[in-house]
Amino acid sequence: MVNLTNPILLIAVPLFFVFLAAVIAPFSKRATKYLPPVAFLINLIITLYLIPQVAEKGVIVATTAGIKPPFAINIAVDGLGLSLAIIASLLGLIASLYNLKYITEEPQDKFNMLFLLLGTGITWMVITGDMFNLFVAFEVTSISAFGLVGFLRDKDSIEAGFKYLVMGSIGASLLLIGVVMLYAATGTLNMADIAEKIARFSFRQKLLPYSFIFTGLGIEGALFPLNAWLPDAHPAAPSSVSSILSGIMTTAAIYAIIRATVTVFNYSAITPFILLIALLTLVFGETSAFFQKDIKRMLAYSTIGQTGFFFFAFSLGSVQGMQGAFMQILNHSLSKAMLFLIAGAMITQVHSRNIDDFSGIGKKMKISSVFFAIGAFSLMGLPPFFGFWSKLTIIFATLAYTNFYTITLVVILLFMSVIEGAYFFRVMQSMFFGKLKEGTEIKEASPGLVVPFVILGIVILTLAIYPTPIIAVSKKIAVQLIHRAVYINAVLGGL
Amino acid sequence: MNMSLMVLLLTPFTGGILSYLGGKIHRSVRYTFAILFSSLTLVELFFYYNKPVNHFVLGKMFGSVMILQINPISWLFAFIVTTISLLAIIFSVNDMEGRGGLDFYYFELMVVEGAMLGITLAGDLLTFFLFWEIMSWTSYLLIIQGGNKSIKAGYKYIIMSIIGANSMLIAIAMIYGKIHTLVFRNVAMLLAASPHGFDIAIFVLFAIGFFVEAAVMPLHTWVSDAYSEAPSSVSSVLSGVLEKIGAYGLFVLLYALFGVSLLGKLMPLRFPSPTIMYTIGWFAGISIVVSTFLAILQEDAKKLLAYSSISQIGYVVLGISIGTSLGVAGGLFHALNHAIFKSLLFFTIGAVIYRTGTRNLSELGGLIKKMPVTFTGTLFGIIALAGVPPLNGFVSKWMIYEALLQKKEVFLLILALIGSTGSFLYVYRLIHSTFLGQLPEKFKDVKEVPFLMQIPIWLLSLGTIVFGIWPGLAMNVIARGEKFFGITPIKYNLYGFPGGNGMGSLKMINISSVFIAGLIVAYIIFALGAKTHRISQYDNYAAGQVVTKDTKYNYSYGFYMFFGRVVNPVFKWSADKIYLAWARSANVFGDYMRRIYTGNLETYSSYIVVIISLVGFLILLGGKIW
Repeated sequence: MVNLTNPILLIAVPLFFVFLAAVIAPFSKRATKYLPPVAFLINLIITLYLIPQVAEKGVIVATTAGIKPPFAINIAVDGLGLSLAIIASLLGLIASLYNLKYITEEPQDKFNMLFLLLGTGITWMVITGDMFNLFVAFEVTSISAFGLVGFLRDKDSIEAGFKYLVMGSIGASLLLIGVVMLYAATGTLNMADIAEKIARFSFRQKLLPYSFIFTGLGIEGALFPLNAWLPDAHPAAPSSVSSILSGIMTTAAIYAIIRATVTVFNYSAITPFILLIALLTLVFGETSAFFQKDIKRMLAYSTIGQTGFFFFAFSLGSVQGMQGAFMQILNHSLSKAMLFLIAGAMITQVHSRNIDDFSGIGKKMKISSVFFAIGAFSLMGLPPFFGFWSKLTIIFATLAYTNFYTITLVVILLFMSVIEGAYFFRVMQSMFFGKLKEGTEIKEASPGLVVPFVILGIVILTLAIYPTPIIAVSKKIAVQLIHRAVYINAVLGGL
Repeated sequence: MNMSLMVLLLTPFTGGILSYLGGKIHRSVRYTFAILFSSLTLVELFFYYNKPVNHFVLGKMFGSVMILQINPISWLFAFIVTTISLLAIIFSVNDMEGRGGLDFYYFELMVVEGAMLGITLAGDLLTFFLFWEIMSWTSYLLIIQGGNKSIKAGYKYIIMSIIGANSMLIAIAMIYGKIHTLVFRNVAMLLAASPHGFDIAIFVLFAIGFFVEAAVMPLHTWVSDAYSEAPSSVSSVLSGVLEKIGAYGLFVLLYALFGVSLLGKLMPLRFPSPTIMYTIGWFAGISIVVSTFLAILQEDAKKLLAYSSISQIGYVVLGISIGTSLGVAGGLFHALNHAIFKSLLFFTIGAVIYRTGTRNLSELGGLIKKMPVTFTGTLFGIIALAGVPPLNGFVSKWMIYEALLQKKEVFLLILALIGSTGSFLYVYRLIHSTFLGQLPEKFKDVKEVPFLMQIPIWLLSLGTIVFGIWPGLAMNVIARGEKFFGITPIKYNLYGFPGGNGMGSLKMINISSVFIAGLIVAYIIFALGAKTHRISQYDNYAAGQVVTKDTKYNYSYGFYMFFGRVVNPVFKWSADKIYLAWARSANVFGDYMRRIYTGNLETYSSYIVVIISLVGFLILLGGKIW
């Protein structure tokens, strides 16, 4: 009897499907495309089964090879990790359903294998309890992402893929250097164990390994100025891939930074530095998004801005800040993934990524446009959507103490939200009220593309109607995250 | 009984959804639901007449309770919201006919109504802000229903509105950071105990948000475009209700959150009223004068009304900011009156546009015979607007003047009087260019609007008379409201004011009787006098020439050109141009900022090196970041 609630299955199942894909690909390449939805559906079910356990115990630990931590490679799932795993499985499921209709280019078997690997890597990143494992997961994620960005093999995507490859490899090396340094200093790779042993190091001694890990992960996590690959790579990839990249992959990297900063390093002294980085990310992301003519590029820059936004909330260091960060992560993942899927569906009709060509399509593609508006409204934080509550939480967290410094921060945040409103409203205006170009034949995208993002839209609408439970859960998650002793004891408790 | 406050709030939202879905079946279903549910809201509201509800818990968010409440003042504003929305819905039935996306339009109209109702019923800042944001973006969706130009106007509105809402959000977050609850009562206690700098910051941040929505200068720049480009019934909702919501916000800020005595303490008292309120009074005063002048110069009927709205809301804000029982009552009463007569005027001008298809004053003329009901409505509207007895505008303006006199605020009084005199100029222009004079050939076959569109016009005309002759009807609510907020309630009776408010008495019934008697006498003289005989418009001559159908003998373009020559040099400078200049320079700056993404891999890699070296530098510094 397989224990359904073992978190290792979250990695094992999709990996198994990858190998399965490799096995059946020689017989039928088309058949491989039905594997990712199944794998992600199983993952989603497992994660949902894990919820009661995590709620009860706080952290669930799974080990390999029957050895207890810190000696074995272990997996430790806490509230934050599990929530991100749920989001990753959900988005993976939605995007792979979308792929069934969307991906027509060959080689499909390779695409589906890479897509499964991408999902595996992301899930792995958010549930691992081991630094080296984190690096491995990071590599799995990045390498499959390089391949997927370059999948379309036109000039854009090859250039973007190459840029991403170079930057991502630098990032991976830096991360590895950081992990090695940690190992040299503490003699262990287990996160909880490092966390316990690192207490004897001074701020200065921690700085070097931390900075390497931060920079390495920051490249993947879209932090300014390390994010320059992103505005090329996200638009160049097929839209379903963009939705995973923007929706959860950058977030997973940010999660790793959060885990490293809070749990492993316990590095509250660094927060002013990361606050500055987050703010710059926000400002440059939103400002650049305002000037984009290409819809997917605009969404990609908006991802940078949003990443800055929730990373900023995290760097406030308070429970409420982390609560806001988590809420915004949830909101951003769902809405941005949906927006990318919709943009993809619209591009299949318009055959252009230029925003000007989208004018007036709201009359023809009603469902897509309405759901685009829902996603954009939620992202902008307009009530009654969930984004309103997360924006409110973050603003409240920032202004927990009123002084000149915090007010300046809030003014910057809100100014950026005005800019965000400006470019999203501009796009929606031209969609719904612009003039349709003469001689174009545009109709609603095929149901195979519409149904997946409508499912996501229904999730967003449900959140809009019942925000209270999620807000309560996010508070628990934030409290759990900030009390790192709980995590450490849970992992090392077996000793 | 308590639960029904929630029912009241949900009624328009439900109606919106039902009329949207009903519209998919048949358009009559849509209209039935829209009209039924907005009337239902009005009926439900009357259950709360004279029955305040203090505390109805809606839920809990961030550890702060969300409360609905109803007090006499919120009842007054809720009344304005529901009445004007209902009439706008009735008016839209014919006015919007034939346009696409009507299901969505009615849905939006009812959601806006619900959101504004939510604002008036809110008992804490979180609920208030929640509905405020909903109102902002839904009213934006209404504005852009007006076609191509309205999109640009709507864009300006939503950007300014987001800025205003964000400014409020900062203030709300500052308050939350201190006490972790946002109920009005607790906030008031916090403000009373806080340092003055904090209080003033809160006040200014809120005031920015309310000024945008109430269209007080210098944050009014969205109004003239939005009001004129939106569909007529939307314009009347915007001007009649949305502006009032801004004024309601200001009232809540001044009297529920701060209170006169606290405002008096915040800054040194050098003026008759607390300095902050005095400053607001001046903003209002300048709004009154400047936008009156701008209204005089307009060629576009709806732009004229839009500027007139800015000017009239100035009276409301001015009255509220005076702070005496008479002034506040005058301001609130003017809010009601303005909602009545300005919506009336937007409806009548909307009716003219409906039949003629133009809102350009110089193209219109002579419609009096063709559209008598519309003309009568306009006549009542402009008499009320100009503040001529016996209609309602007179009473509230009189109260504001008296209150200013009481406080010896001479300069503000002068501003208010200039605005009132100026309004004669533009309302005369409005009715003359539209209904009097020569009927252009192309409008020969214009007919009166359908009956459904006449209903709002009739009802609102009646409203200007009723509240003009019996101001006590409104004073009943306002006086209780003043008592609720700790202001001395105004003394009143059904026909006016008996004196004892520190001013002379006013008996509207006498004034109206004299007025009506005068009319009767005039009619008798008219009837007994020499027999009139009707002549054609062209039985006339001008400059020695016989007038034919092709000659335009009444000039209506550049009507007040002489006036324009005087004031135009001053209006070369406008707030709008300043904002646009800011936006342009921000654009240029942002364009430079985005160039950091050069698209060049070498540059990007060097960024990584820069970050790592920065950290190395930090280590050299000894790990001290700050």
